[in-house]
Amino acid sequence: MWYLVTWRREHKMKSSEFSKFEQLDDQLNTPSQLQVSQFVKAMPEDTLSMAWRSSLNEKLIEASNQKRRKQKLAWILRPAMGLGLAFALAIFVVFQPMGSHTVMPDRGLEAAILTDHHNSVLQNEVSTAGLNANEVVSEANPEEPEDGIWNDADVQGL
Amino acid sequence: MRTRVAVGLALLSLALIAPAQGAGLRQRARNRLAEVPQLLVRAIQAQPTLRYTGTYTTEFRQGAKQIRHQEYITRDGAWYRIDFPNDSQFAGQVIIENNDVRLHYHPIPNEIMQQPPRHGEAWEKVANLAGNRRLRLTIDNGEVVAGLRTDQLVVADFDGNVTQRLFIEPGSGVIMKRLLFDKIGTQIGFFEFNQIDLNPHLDPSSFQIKRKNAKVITPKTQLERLSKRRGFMFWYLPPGSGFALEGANPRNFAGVEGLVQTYVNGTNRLWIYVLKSPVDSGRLRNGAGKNLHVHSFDSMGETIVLMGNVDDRTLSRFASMMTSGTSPAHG
Repeated sequence: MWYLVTWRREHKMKSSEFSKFEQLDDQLNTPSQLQVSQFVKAMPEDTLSMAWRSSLNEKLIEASNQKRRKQKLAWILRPAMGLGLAFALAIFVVFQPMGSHTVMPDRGLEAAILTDHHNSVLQNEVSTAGLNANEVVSEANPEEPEDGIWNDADVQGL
Repeated sequence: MRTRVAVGLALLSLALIAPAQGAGLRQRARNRLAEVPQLLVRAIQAQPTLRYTGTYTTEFRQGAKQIRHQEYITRDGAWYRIDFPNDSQFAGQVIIENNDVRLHYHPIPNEIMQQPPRHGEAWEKVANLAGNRRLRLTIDNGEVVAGLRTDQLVVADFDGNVTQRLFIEPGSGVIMKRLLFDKIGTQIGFFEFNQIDLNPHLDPSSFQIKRKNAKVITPKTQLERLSKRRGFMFWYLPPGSGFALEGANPRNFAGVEGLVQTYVNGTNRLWIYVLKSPVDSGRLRNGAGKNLHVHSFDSMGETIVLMGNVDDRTLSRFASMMTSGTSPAHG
């Protein structure tokens, strides 16, 4: 009873509520209640049947097999999905539309560049160590230096 | 577990098939070599050790113009000396080339242009004719060229379009005459010996340029001068790319001013076009086909197009290396 008094003090319980607890305590200590308690304690302890255990084991094994099958499926599907994703990405990268590409009117500029390149490739084979096509037609041959065609030695020699 | 076994078996079968495929490729290569005419084999084998002096005429097609000139050649294996007749517009110029360097002397500015060598690329292309399965190589009647009898090697595609005709002296393996054609059969390149001595006396000093006070310049200097004179920004691909500038030339493309820069890396070649007008990159790519890659960008009012047989990613990297274009006046 002492703890109830302490508990009541701490929680400032109303006297009507405290009396309810006292009543319950009294009811549990009645001879009939004590007899029921003794009867329950005297009952034999129930043991689990082997059949039930066996069925539980089967269910557990089934669940475990399902999980393993899912793991195997994932082992195949995950790389396949990865490959599929990589392939899709590669297709996108290769065939992606040129975002910044703007179509310009055909002035023949691109064709002229490609023709120049094509001829240059072939003509290098003809020249070997001699003058190549660029050197033959270019204003860069002979090239004038920035400080004129005469050097210091030439001027001193005059 | 079964799946893993299946994957393992698949890998094992691949490992077994791969050598068989390799053997198949080797067999096909052997078959191809068996198809190559002995005339071409002789020409390829002879190249490294050929010694001769001679005179030949070359011709290039530029637009509607056929430009022809004459050169004197002195050759000792990989050493070349090129001179020009006195009545030539190139009179006085001398070119010395070996496997390491090409020196081109220009008398008027008294300069020696130091460039990467280029003869190896040309001979490698001749050698590649033997391995190219897309070409048909046949032997036809030759001509007498510079007093020597030749046999003719005809190079055509599988549709029968002739791309080259080579006239080879069968004893020495010297290519005495060569004609190159474009896609529609127009002759765009030509050379022919007018005179040749296959047993010359060669003086080693012939392969030296000794000119005091001559200034040694590089193609980069030439590019700087040209860019400044033509009013272009100075766009240059640095040697860190692995490619060396060979030369730069002004061009007019369908009314658009441009500069063409050519770079070499061994036998690989790269072209950079600097233009004063934007290009349609899609149209350029479509026209370039599968083997030629193109990358272009616009900067400071100019369009730069990189073109070559290098992959798109490399071209893009090269483009980023070039973006520090500055005016040669300040650079």
